[in-house]
Amino acid sequence: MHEDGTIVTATREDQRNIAAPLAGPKRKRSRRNTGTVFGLLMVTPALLVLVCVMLYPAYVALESSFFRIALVTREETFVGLANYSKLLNSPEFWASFKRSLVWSVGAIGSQMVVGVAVALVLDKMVRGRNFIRGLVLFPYLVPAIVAVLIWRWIFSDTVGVANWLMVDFLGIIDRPIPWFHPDWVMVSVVIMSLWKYLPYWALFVLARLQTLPQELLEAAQIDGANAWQRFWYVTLPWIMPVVIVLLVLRSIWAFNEFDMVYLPAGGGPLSATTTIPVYIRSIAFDYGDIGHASAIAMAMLVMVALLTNFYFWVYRRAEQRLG
Amino acid sequence: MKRQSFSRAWGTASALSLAVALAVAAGPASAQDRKIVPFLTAESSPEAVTQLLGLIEQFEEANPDIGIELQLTSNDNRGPRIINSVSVGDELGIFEIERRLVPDFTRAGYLLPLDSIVEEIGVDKFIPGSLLYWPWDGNLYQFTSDLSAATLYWRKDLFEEAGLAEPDSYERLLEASQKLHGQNNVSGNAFEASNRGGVQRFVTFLWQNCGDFYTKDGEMAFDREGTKQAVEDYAELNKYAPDGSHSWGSLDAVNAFAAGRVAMALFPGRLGYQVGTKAPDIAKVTGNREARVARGGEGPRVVYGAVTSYSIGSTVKHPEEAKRFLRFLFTGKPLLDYAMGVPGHIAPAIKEIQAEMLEQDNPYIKEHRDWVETILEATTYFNAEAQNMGSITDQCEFKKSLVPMPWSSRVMGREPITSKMFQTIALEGTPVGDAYNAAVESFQTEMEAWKAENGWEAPDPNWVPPGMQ
Amino acid sequence: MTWAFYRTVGRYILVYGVALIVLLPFLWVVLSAFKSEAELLRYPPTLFPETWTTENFTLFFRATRFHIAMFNSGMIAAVTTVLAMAVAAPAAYALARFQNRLFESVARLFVYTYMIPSILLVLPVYKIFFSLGLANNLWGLAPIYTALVLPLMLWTLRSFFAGIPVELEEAAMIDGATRFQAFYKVVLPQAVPGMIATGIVAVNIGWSEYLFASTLLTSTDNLTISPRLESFMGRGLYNWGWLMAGALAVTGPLIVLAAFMQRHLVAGWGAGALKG
Repeated sequence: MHEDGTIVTATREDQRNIAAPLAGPKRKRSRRNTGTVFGLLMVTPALLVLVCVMLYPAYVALESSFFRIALVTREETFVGLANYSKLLNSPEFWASFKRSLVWSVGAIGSQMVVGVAVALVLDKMVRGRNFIRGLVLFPYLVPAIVAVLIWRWIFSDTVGVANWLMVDFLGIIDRPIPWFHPDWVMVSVVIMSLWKYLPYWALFVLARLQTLPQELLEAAQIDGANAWQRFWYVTLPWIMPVVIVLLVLRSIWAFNEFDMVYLPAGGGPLSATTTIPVYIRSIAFDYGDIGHASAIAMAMLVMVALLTNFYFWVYRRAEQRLG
Repeated sequence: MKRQSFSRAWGTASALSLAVALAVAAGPASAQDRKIVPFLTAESSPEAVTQLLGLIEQFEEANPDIGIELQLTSNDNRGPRIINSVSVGDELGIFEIERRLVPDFTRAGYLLPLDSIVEEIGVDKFIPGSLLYWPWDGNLYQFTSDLSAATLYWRKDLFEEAGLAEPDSYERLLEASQKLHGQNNVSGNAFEASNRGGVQRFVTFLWQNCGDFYTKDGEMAFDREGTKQAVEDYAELNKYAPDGSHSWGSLDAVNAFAAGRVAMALFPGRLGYQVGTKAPDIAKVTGNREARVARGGEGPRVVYGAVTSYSIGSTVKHPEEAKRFLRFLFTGKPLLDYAMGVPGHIAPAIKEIQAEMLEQDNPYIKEHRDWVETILEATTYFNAEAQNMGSITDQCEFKKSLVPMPWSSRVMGREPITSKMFQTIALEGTPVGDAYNAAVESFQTEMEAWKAENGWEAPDPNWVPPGMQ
Repeated sequence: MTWAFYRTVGRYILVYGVALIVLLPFLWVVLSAFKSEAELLRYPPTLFPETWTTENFTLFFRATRFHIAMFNSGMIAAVTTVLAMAVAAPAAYALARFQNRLFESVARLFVYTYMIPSILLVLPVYKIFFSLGLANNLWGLAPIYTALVLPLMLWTLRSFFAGIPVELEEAAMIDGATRFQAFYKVVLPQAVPGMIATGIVAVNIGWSEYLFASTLLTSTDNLTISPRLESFMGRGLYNWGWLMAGALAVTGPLIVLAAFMQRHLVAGWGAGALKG
């Protein structure tokens, strides 16, 4: 363990350096070969599951995107790239794409900011801290359908407690908020998923915060930094690796997420919550066009892949800078 | 963690899971000597399900060689579930068929004819218009389990206080909505513009104003004069519905009324039952009457209603057993028991069972017998938008048509054209005339697109279904 | 009253306050679960139940036989966790120890598969499992769930294994153990905190996943909790009280599990989060 608290991970270089005195050159080579075989054997079950359950079905879905499939008779006619050109030219697709972006940015942005803030708060030394942390995990463990129904009830304009609280009880606002108006409904959806997923962010960041050496903070304080500066120059860079990893994974999740976007308002009103996954569902089941739906899903996959590559690039740059 | 205890723990956990998995996998073998008939239904309210389970048990005791596999689904998921089964080639047993899928399924030959069941009972025992014969070949592919029809619920106490007359015409509906809106947290009415409500509440207005969606031969009817009047009237009343009602799900209107937040609601029997059993204080001051919603209370006698029906898939493994169960469940005493699960909401299609219902010793029926009578009567003059295309003739008569709307998925699927129309009026301030014209165009375009892709031939216009002579 | 005292009080208010806000909907659910249905329909809503009643729970379980669905979910959660861990741990270990191009691309491959939207896979998977006779079979979900959580588990487990010094295995191998024995007997026990932290993802998916469960499981007695809930709620609701009872029934066991494991959870996350 280094003095500043980071744990050394054994690099290949270290492995070789450690193993070298114990094994002659001939043994070193064969050890490395058997090592690779061993490694591949260890990885094989995972790869097997992956290929059978994900890659092969994905290939089947890719295949169906080049066909027009009659829902009831299951006849398939090859149409080449027609499904793809149809989707690129349809305004509904691009509108859904825009909504997916708004939703992803809103959801991930809010989850990140609030999650990190909650982590900072929960890091403080108080009694019962562990108990509180376990309790805060609750929203994450509630299944999506239950969480959405609870929030729909809270936001209901007839029996809901949110508007009653703000208008009648506390009097902070004059008119009730129309939670399901097309202009507001995406906000409601973001709030629901913020509540459900901020524990996820909070606990990951919190764990990372545990390893932040107190000496660094103390040193900064001695140097005259105030609370904000301590956060910005010490804490933030420390948690940045975790934040970026979560950013990648959660962004992928947000783009693909169906339940938390569809269940609150069914894609409406007036398509205000129809993101790409919701759009796919409507194409598949309302219009019965499975081929077209597969094409859209493929297009979505490509976009997410591009986005992830971008993240990887940023991550590598950040890692280099952090040393 | 200690090395040994870890290994032991890991080993035990794996062994245990494996044992359980093997045990459960071996389990179902015992049920394999019975003939299993799948039974898919979306009537998943707990009271109805309790009844269903009891009736299934009864049937299985009387027929030990048959097993009924109950498959519950929500209304939203019913369509996708059926479509998934079909696209995978799975067996479709008895299933509550999604209305908009009937034309495609029937034309593809996926459904078994069920005429024999009706012949055994006698077609005049059924309420006229409750059996959905297929107009192109006269067969019956859907067996009716129950009906529902909408009536008007209103708050007698609020009306009395404000000195309002009973709402039996558009003018009175409007006056009441205006006067009662905003007093004591109450909204004038529950005439919603939600995806579902924008169709189910609106159609009563449409038909009583002599309008309709399409004619019996599949031509446009939404451009009729009466339609525009209905749209204007409904849009006006919609102003006095609760703000968030355009996002309502299927039961929010019921909850709103039960919570005392709306003064009027147009809804099938489920509302009466919920209010009667869950909100007795509100129920005491609630009236229930036939819905008259056009100007001066004029217009044909028709309301929104629906037929719940079950089909048997042609891929079913045990067709005779399936038919036997269907006949058992939805006739005679089982039907009565099933309907008593949620009286008023589940209305039997057989006349004598309806009469028997009213004599049952049930607290809801005892307390609100007049409600149930009104609702049961409404089942004799209801109409369904996707099932009965062109029932309102241009002579402004209600002649129930059994021609289903083949393209109903497109115009009344997830985002029905009428709901969208009312939503743009209410939420985006579009003038009623513009929204209406856009809707007319959409109805036209979708119909023509479907006809171009699928080919359309109207059925024999002179065909009269059995029991409706 | 010293300045330090005020700061301590302030800290307590902040921490407990934040926790309270996050848990507010939960508290609302707990309180509402003990109100009668009539009281739940009232406006303005009441805060504490006027009369405390457990009828929601008894009626809910009796009418829906929800305990069957809970049992199914518990079973599949356990089996998925065991299977996923058995598959992921060796793979993550290999990915941590071998840093060459080959293994890097394998790691990358798993990230790319994480991007495949589930909705794309549902129908093909259903078709494949149906032709294998595994439709409507609860255990068929285990390999599917394993595949869904593998990428996440691999990434996090890899960091934990990377954090365990190589010297330990080297020492064991010098003593005559095979590579696998070194892994199994020396490395794994060290990684238990990390495995617990990663395991909860598998438990969660088995317990509350909706899409695949609702598509593959058709008969009602096979359903896990999310599809079972959806089957009688969908987007409309018959009984608010039952929703409350159902919500508590569904989250209760998980909360208990998480509270029990939370010490390991936080420690495990911490060690793994270092290498990202």
